[in-house]
Amino acid sequence: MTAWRLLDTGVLNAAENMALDEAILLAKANNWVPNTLRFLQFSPPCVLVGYHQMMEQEIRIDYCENNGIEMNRRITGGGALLWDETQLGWEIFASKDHPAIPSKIEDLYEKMCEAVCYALNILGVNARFRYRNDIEVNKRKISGTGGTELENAFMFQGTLLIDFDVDVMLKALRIPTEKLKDKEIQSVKERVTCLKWELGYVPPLEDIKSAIEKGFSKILGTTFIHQPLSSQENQLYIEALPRFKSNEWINKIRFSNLKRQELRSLYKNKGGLIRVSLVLNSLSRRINSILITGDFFVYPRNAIFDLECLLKNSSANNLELRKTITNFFKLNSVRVPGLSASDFTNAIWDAVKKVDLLKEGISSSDVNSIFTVCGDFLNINNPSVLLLPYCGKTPTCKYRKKEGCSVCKQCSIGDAFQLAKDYDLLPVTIQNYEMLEETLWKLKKEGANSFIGSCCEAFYAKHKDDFERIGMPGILINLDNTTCYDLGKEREAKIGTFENQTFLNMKLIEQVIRLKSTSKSTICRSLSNVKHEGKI
Amino acid sequence: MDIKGYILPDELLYDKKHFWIKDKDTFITLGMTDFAVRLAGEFVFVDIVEPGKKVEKDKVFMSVESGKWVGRVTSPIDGEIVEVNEELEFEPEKLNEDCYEEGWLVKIKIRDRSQLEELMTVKEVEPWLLDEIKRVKGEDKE
Repeated sequence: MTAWRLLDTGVLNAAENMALDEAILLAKANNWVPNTLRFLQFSPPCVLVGYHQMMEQEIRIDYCENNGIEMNRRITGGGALLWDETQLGWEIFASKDHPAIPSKIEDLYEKMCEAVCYALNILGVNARFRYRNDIEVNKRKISGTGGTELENAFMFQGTLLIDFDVDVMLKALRIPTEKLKDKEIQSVKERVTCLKWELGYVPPLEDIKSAIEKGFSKILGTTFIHQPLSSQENQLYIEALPRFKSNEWINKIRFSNLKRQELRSLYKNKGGLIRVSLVLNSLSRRINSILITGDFFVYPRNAIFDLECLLKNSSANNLELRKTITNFFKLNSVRVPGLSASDFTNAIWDAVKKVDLLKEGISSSDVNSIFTVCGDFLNINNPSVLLLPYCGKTPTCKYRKKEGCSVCKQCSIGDAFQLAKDYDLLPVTIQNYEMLEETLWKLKKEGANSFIGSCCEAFYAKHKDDFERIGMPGILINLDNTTCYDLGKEREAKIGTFENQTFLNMKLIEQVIRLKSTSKSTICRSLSNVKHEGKI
Repeated sequence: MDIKGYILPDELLYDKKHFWIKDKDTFITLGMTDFAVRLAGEFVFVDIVEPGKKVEKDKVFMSVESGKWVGRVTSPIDGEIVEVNEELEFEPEKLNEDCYEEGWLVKIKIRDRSQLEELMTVKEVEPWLLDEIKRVKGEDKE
């Protein structure tokens, strides 16, 4: 069998590497060059979005610009990647009808990944292919892949994480949501790995390349000969480079179909807490990516990682989600003490349906600041009280430790009191947890429809099941500042002795009150105001 | 016609890039065959092009994506895009579910009708497709 070319293009910048991808693929499509294994590296560091992705939706552009990270676009599919100088890229350019190349894309992925798994095993890393297109070590991703084609040629590429900085990755890429909590950041780290973490050291780059060459040699049944770019490839590269440097390429204008919405939910029952952070394409209703964390035990240990992979790019339809997750649990004998497949479906669905808040006029940045208890946002109406946290008062306020407010305008609680008056709601500052529970029971006894309140997400997470137990429907709006939970002072807050000050999201509170309040007094007052102006 | 488990409607024309063509006198409708969509797997993205875009025979003018794979769509004729299946923007899975009806890709105004003579009927494409099927080793035929 004819030997393949081994092409090492060394260290280049993002546009140069992308232009070479196009040039080599075109040359292969014309049969001007042999089948090729290419190695590539990047400097300066860069982020590369997939061919069909929108740059600003996947990348934190400001961060990249301020930190010397270039931005560009691949000719292959898949998601955004960070490439720094330590990573190694490998690419196969070949004819589709080569006998060693499977025709079905799924089989092609598996075979190419097998070659790299073989290479990693040579290096002492126990790697395996993970369906659909990743390579993992102990259930952690070490290599991602993607491909494209042109006439009878194809290009298949992969990354190999050798030693990388997860924190930079999380800052440069919007994975999967804008604001990740510490626990979620730790969870993201648990989902990836690199050679250095696995081996405790970084093997020489030449050893890594040699291992990959051996892997492809073994799996494809071929040998490789070092050869440079051909003159035709060089010419094609020179012609292509301006396009790959252009704003038109890098920031390809996409249709509005890429309506990326980050959604979060928090689901709790006796068995534990499930947190979901997902990115939804709000027009196609597909889940672009998802992160499932929380306080629960799962067997097999990495089942949740596999579920996340399975749900990537899947439909966000409730029935289909339910079917997919139920089947996944069944087929993989997944056990989560106290939580079922249905609980995970409900948690994910709670996140997905937050997208409907956009139709209510809630901004995409505010949807995740709204929590509900005992009902959905759309069904909770006509609130009669506005519950406010005492920690919203200034620490020196004479009402800090007792119910009430002088509306002195020194804090947002005064603003909320005024707002409540305008909309005929009874404002109540909650001094401690016992008072909250008493207040909610009283409201329920009096037949109140619902309440609106403000608390931090941590409080909501901690007491969600208490709210559900009491059974009073309500809408809660997240606080805007460092809370007792952030400071580790929740015990003091519970008994009313927390000394810091938080701030209400007044704009969102007013918007929600306006949406939900249909107070007759409000209508009468409006009519009265109009009469006063002589317009009736 | 059923060719080894792959459906190719009798009334359509075909090319050797796994596209089907419906001749509507002044324009053609273009789509991907059952064989093509099953090889590709589940589509997650269809790049919607603008009506008015000029296309050239055998040149790439749009792309689709399935499982991180970017597939390139070529035109069988010279012409101009007159209509695009915008449903695929939100429901790319329609390509998999119904590639001959709801999963059509584009409609192209014909500039040179003689180019249609190079396209094949289902009977003419059958031997070629049988070779393609043989080439695809180990594929599951549902």
